[in-house]
Amino acid sequence: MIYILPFILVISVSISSENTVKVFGYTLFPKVISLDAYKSIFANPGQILQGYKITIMFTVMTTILSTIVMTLVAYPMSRRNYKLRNLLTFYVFFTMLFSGGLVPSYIINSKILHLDNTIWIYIIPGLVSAWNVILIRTFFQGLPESLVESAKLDGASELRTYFQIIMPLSTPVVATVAFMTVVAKWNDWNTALIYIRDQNLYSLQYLLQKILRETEFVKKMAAETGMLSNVDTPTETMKFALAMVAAGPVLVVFPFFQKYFAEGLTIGAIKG
Amino acid sequence: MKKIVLLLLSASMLISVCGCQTTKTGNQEGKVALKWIMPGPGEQEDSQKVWIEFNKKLKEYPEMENVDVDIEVIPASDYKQKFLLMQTSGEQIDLAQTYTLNFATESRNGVFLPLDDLISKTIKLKNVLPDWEWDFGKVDGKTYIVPNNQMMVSAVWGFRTPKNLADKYMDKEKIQNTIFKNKTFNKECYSVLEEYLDTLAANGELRKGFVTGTQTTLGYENIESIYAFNIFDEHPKIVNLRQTDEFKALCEYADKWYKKGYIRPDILTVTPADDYGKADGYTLWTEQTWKNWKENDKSKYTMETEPIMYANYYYMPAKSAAGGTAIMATSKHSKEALRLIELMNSEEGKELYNLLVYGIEGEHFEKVNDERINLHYKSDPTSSDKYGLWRWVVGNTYYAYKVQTDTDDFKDYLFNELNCGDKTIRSKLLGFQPDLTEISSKIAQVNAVSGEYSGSLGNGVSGDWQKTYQEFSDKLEKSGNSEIIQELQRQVDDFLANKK
Amino acid sequence: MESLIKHEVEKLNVQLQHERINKRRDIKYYTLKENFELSLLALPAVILLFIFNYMPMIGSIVAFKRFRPNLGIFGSGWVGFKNFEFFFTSQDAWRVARNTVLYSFDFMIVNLVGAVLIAILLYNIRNKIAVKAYNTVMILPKFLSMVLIAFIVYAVLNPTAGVMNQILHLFGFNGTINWYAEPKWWPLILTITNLWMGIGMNSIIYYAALVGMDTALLEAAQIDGATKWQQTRYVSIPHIVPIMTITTILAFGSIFSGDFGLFYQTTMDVGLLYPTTDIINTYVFRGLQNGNLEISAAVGLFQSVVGLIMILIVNGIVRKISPENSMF
Repeated sequence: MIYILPFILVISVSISSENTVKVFGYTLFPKVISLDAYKSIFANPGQILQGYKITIMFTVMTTILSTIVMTLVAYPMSRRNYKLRNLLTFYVFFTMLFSGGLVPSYIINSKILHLDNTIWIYIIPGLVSAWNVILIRTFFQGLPESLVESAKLDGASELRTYFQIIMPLSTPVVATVAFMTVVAKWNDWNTALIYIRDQNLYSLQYLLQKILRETEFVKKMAAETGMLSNVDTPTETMKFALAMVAAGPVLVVFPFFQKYFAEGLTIGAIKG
Repeated sequence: MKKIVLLLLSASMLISVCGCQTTKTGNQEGKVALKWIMPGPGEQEDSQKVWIEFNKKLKEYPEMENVDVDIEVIPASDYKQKFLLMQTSGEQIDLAQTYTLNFATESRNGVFLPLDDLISKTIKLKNVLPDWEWDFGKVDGKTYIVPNNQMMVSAVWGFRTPKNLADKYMDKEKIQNTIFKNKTFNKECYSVLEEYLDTLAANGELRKGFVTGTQTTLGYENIESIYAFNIFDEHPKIVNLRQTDEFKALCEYADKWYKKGYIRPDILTVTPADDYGKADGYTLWTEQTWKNWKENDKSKYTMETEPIMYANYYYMPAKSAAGGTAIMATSKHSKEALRLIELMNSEEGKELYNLLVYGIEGEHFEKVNDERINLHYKSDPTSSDKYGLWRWVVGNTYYAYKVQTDTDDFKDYLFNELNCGDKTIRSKLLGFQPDLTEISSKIAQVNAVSGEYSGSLGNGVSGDWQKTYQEFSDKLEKSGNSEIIQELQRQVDDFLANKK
Repeated sequence: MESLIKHEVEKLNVQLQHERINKRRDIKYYTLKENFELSLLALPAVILLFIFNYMPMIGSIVAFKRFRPNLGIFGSGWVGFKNFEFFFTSQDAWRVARNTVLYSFDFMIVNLVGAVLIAILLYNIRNKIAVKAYNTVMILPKFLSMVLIAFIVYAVLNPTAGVMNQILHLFGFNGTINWYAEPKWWPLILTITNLWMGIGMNSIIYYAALVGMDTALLEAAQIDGATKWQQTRYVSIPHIVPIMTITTILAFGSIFSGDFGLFYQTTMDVGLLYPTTDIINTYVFRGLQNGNLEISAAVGLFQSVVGLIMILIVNGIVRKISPENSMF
């Protein structure tokens, strides 16, 4: 229950008026209710809606594609008789530790592949997460070999085995990984920052972060260059309101994924 | 079968992606395309509309009949990083504004084009700025940027205190004279402030007390990181700002005041600005103190304030925050690029400049008279406004229309009194740009150490300030403090010797 | 009683093991056709990783160069190990490295125990709706930006108006603790915050594993009269040991690294607290105000190499104990 308290705090501060927060500090129940913070965020509703649209689009696409690609590669990694097993595992795992950094990725993504300023930049580079792949592999390894054997005896190809045996049994892990992907993609604002120039392609998180950073930057600039700043937007309460706007949809979606965790088919049933 | 389909799917995905080429309008026959990047509020709703109009009007000017300008406004907080990325990926840029960039480093690396040759061919541009102002764009004697003409003096700071308290308890003349006499904020200044604070405390009017500001750097000009020199010295001598007598004075008094309760216990975690000018806020804080400080304060605070000036002069440091416009070394149309800069900075292109900054008349503003307009948006445009760029980024603010937040005489104030007035002291090092390549990792270490100690020492929170100070000093030395001072001093000496 | 259950479970485990060993003995590796098909399945991922992960890795050489953006990565000059100077010659290197490693271990253990605990608790709750509710609430922190979380912590620990101090007052504690001025509390504060942040998502993984468990074993144990606790200890936990092992091994890879946001924002970057809260990531950030790409690349490279070595070592140890749980 203590757990929920911070969350209630977030809601309450987001609907409080800026001034009361400054004077009284954070309280669990707003002293004065004001929706100013939300008003500022939604000052340009068309933009935010577009952000929602884009983000939903690339989140869904990434999750579907990513789940397919990752489970596809985790399957061979889990078969002990696969000759290239160790090599493949190391190949995947190595990418988790080493990265070339922003600059070379930028060159490849923008200059060579021309993915920048398109919706694909959100999707393609991040399709394979080594950590997730290894997780999936571990799950696959826990499934009894006998199942695969019997499928082989029936003359199934590897692909068939994958589709018809392994996948149906793996709903828990697939749902988990899919959900984690959704969360990661939904929260992504870095990609837009670096690669997107077209206003219509900004992701939701980026828009929200931008509003926040802009206000703070203008305040900072006013202090540095001595210019009068007319900006009086509520930043404290805004931070909390932003969190609400961002988190909302995903929390709604979560129970849907929840269903799949709970409904893992038991091995016993299959054997029978 | 399914397997083949899957393969085809992934393959076609990759191919279609590579196939999407975004081709920018290249240089067609006779036409010149310039790309100009600058920091600002980012692209706005009417940006494209205004820029199309801009390009249309641009053709009416001589030498620009075939020129098209592709403008990109990048959010200022991301500007530096984006600039780096654009360069690395070899994107073709012609003009770049240099706010937030270290233009000295870029110039030395050959990123920008030296402009002296080109400028000497155009008298108009040269006359746009007074000689001394060109120094702001020079690196090692060569000009690399056309500085944006605007306020070149550094911020004028002063203390503030609630007026009613000041009238009752403060001996303003004494405090003011002490500060002016001493020129730097040393022990005497602090003790005189302490008298005031003591009186407040004795009368129960302490409230949130004292919060430190920029007073420690009074009388010093900052070169880089925490290294500066005393502006009143004949020959600039580099010192570490945290090793000056003034800083030590701050440590001593801050420690005293923290223990006496003149500094609030949670000072380290609060944002000072939150409590400026509040009825129960600080009784002594720092604020910018321009000529119009009264109106400024009134718009922000709920009470009347009394200022305590630090200086009775204006100071122009060698570092100009705003930067200027540079031409990239890789530009293929430097002549046209310079002409564009000329238009943005001179009387000739006044209308064009204002169009770019403010937008289209009737849609984004109303004209009041030849000099003044009424904006449809606030004077600090953000990305949610329909349009608006920062005038000190685009060009010469001398030619900008006055807007609601400008007083009628602000141009006179800015350009005559501040930039060129007799109360203005100009830095002895105008045109000097330190070269940090050899000492960069040492400076990085010094920054890290300074970050750790400055806050607690400067606010008196450390407990035993002398012990902590000694610790701090030792760590600074171990980080290469002396080598940095030596190197910077050497560069300064060389610069001054060559200037003669 | 306990020994009886233990015996049963052991029997089952031994059975499974025999199956595996037998398989291994008469393993001929898969036929060429099977190997080929499997490789095909892996192909999309392999290509993607190559393009987006391996190709950029060449950029790591920036750590050994003096990087000039206009010359590009290959045009810039070599400077050997000079970029590593900043970190290795700094007097605080030892302190921040120590902090980083200690926190990594600390978080690793605490998060593992916490997540597994929650997963088991959730698993044993009958009420589906309650489980959904708890789960949803627990993953909330994932959506709060670090700045926000720092704020929440501040609201609790604020020396004057904070919740924590008010609670202490209730217990008759005199005076206020200035949390932000005392380094010694922060390992605890950061551990709790980190736990709160991650437990939602972390526990989901173990929960999903539990859900896929063969309930026959549980039922068998139950019939033999095992208590819930015994069931958990001898059936549930062993089932998720593989996952626990893997996540732990992987955690070793980032042992020389830490969550920058957590350590920088939550502490409000108060210098006094650095002795216990400064880690490699925050230290490097503070020093490189001018965004010196090469130096941060050098430090990053160092962190990665050490992480790799650690994983190889730990993996080797795990392999000796129970080979099927190792990475490779």
